[in-house]
Amino acid sequence: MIRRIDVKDIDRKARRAFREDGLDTLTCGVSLAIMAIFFVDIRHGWALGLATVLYTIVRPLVRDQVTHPRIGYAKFTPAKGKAPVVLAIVAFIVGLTLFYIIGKVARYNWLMPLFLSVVLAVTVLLVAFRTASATHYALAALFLVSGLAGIALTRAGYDPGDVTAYQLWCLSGILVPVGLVQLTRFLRRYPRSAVEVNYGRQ
Amino acid sequence: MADSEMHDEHLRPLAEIDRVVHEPARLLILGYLSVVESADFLFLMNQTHLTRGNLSSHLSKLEAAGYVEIKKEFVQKIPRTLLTLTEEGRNAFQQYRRSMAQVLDNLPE
Repeated sequence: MIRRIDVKDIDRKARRAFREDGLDTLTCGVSLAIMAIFFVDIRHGWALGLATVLYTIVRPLVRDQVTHPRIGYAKFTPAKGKAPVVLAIVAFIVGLTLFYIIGKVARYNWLMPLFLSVVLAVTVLLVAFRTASATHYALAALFLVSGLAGIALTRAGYDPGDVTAYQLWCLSGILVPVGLVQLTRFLRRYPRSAVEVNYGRQ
Repeated sequence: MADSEMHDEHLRPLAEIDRVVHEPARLLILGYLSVVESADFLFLMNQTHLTRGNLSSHLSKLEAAGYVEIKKEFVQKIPRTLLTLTEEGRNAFQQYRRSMAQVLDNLPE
């Protein structure tokens, strides 16, 4: 048999396998809903912290309990692994906070919904590109549309903080059900094995 | 140069193909292990759709050839079989890809 080996395709499939569980979408939805509280009242800075903890710490823990026992475990090379993702999330949160606080003073925070949606869309597009996941491409488009709708509302005179909060809740209202559907499908497709499938050396 | 000699020249890399790597199931296993730092047995079984016995048998051959390292460990008292591609295995896989690409590029339309 003579054939070419598409390592990039194998890499995409391997990475996509861990996203089929819907946990990324689900926790992203919940995190955005929590984050929205900060935009209603800037004193609720804890909401940003809680959302970050949920996405960066709780999600991997849940994945250890739910996903790995069902589809197995794989560790990707550090350069393509968690460190850049964590850095991107931290940069996103810091950027978001600075943009909002400085913007409030400088009166350009009407751009907030668009800024937020562009950052989210770019992040999701990166994931979509690495995993060739149609769902992630659709989510990126959704984020951009929400940003355009948000900026139209802020230009119409609505408070940017309130608009951003509603934008996040609306996105959350879509992401959480999508994540739940993905998770349900995943749990049905991969029932938990009673014991680890051992390499045949018992 | 005669046609038959040219033909032989183009197909020479085929003779150098590593038969341990060339087997489709083992090639798939090496492909997956080449994109990860390490993976466990269950992950490979799900991705390659090989049966437990089949995967075990191929892994034994790859281990015997020194291409794959197999480690047993316990995670929360549950045994886990961790598989890693060795440097030798990575080189063999890369060499195989180069040889096959050469053969395919030289094949007449």
